[in-house]
Amino acid sequence: MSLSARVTWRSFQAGAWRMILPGLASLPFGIGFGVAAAQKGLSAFETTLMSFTVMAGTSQMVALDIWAQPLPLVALFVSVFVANLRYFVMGAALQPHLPHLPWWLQPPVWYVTVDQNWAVNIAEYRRGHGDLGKFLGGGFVMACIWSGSTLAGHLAAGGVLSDPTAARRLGLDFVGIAVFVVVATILFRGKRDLTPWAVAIVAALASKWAIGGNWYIVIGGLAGGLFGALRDISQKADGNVR
Amino acid sequence: MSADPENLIAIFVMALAAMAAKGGGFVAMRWLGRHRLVSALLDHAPGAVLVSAAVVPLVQVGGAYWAGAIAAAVLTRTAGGFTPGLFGAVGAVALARWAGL
Repeated sequence: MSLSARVTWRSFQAGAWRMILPGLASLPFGIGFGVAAAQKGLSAFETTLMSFTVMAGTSQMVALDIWAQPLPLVALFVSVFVANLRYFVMGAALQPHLPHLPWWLQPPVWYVTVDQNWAVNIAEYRRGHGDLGKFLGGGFVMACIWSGSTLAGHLAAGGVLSDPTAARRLGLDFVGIAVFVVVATILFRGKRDLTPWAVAIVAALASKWAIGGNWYIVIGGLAGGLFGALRDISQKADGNVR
Repeated sequence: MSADPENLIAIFVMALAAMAAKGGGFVAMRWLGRHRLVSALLDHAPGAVLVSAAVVPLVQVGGAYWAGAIAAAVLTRTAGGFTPGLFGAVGAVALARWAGL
């Protein structure tokens, strides 16, 4: 097994500890989802099982929207897949750092590929000290917090827990965005990143305005990435790479 | 603890769809990763994904979120790292809301 695919209990714990606060950011959304799931008639067990196995809040919310008897299985598959397309790009960016990952470790790695956990770990892989144990530990703790929060919301449907204003007052609704900003700051390589990031920002805002939904992450990421790639290739062809 | 078999099948289908999206890019890269354009694209994609994910909520919410983003960037650069940036950002948002932003 290659070094990048080694998992130790110590690194698993370290990854779990550092993702507790980002995991807590999902509390208000998780509680809201639990309340909505209870109103749709899902049991506490079904709500928790869905959150633990799917672990993708937005797509779960989209699925609840079309949740009616008889259950439209094809529509559920397509809507969850499309709502999670940003993970396709994230998984693609991760693979070159784990080229020799054994087949049996791949599904757990896919499972823990969620926004904040991916952001923190891809930054470390790019700086040459990524750790699979930390990646898996962080994802596991995020799955537990997410599932627990949806269960809490289900059990307290309509009660005090369904009021997310307390978390908002404490600024906890910003934790998820803060992770993106912090990791982007760490990844920033100076002038080289300025124009691709500007293209990504413009594309993301334009797609949010024109299409709506969560497409802006995929479209902005692809637009910025493609712009940077084409620029680098043309500079290499001209022999201008510094 | 109750579970309807039809609901369990639907949950399984949803989990499968989520894994297909997450694993699809990872698996596809085994074949696509050798191409020059793809590897150059992936050199830039993580940063582009991050700024895209951050900018829309920042623009939508405004005020307090901008204060948090500035605090996150400054503290990450000056205090050096993930934890001060994260806690500083959350504190800045709470302070900004308290101040009425």
